[in-house]
Amino acid sequence: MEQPGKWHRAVLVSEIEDEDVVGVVVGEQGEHEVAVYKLGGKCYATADRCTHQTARLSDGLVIDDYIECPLHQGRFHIPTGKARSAPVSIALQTYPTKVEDGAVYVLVEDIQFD
Amino acid sequence: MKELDELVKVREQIIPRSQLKRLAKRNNYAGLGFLAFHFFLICGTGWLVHQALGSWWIVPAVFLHGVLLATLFAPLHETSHGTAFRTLWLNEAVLWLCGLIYIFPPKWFRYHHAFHHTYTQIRRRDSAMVLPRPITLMQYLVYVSGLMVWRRNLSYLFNHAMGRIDPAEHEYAPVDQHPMLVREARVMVAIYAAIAALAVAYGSWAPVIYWLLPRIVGESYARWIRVAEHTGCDEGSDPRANTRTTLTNPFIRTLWWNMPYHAEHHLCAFVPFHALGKFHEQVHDKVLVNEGGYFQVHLDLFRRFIRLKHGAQVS
Repeated sequence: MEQPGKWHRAVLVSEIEDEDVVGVVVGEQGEHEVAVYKLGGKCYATADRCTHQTARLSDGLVIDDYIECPLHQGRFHIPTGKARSAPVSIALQTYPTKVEDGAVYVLVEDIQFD
Repeated sequence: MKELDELVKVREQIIPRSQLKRLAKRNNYAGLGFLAFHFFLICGTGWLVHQALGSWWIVPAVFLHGVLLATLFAPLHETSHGTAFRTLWLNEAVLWLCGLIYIFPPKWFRYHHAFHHTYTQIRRRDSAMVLPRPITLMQYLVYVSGLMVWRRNLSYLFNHAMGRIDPAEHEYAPVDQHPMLVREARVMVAIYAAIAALAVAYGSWAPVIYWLLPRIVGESYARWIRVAEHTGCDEGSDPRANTRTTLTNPFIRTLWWNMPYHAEHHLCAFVPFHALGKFHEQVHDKVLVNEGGYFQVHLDLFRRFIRLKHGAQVS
């Protein structure tokens, strides 16, 4: 089944170190702040803002399969977005990714602005 | 969030992310080593208390033991950040153990402390603001006695155990976590009640002599150390000015799990305690550092009290 949304070119795979994260802005009008991760050669994407107090997760630390918020050290499971350790308790939005021509693409739903 | 944006901006000016990433690497060995050393010393001072029973030596022995128990705040604090160990369950287990001995609901502390990191030295927002200016001698003495802290912590513990969460706590503890805070307090109270029941059943004063009394006496030492972290620093969200690093000897630094490098800790809380020394070497000229040690910090504060006494404005 086709997922709703549109694929956006986010970042070159070579620009992300393994076990690291890069913050990008995608969407027709740059409305989505997305964190793109590389874990064991595979790319993942989540919202870039922590659900606890909106710190930028791309400033955080990747530990195994988790992204740790740089402000309060709450951890989210990168592949599923699940909140793993306090003070975070609300899951993170995740986005489907694909790699084409050496670039990571992220599927996001564009927000319609009036 | 304005405070958060400022913190990130300052951090980026001071140290590049690539360097931070290296410093932020976690392991379990450092935490286990510090913890073993800590409990070895606590057992040692506990033995001294035992040896001093029945003599006047009990007074310094209990105080010393209390000081050691008070420094358990350091692993409690580090595990509340999740940075003491690489392994999450180990962090949580040590957080719980330290919270239980320290008589401090650990998960509640985590939320309370997280808020302090967001709003450090922001008046009426900082959940752990110590002695905001102007400071009077009486306020200083009451704080350092630790009495208010006991009142606050025990009221949280028992209120939570009774299922009551103060509306003011909603600001830092998410509503979906309130049942967990209640459960935590109930488990702690149940454990304390079991210890009390066993002590009564066996006619033993051991929990009082080796734990409660030293904890009460030693809390003033913890407060005395904690005054140095922010008191008298600028009010505002600039981490270069709102937090103070206090240089001290390696023994005290080790007991406090490197928390005397407090400015570095607030600048980047995801750098674990064992890397704060290296972090300090890289940023010491960009943050607020008191090179004279803890007595110097307190002496400076006392100078302010005297000025206040003579009617001058506290700076």
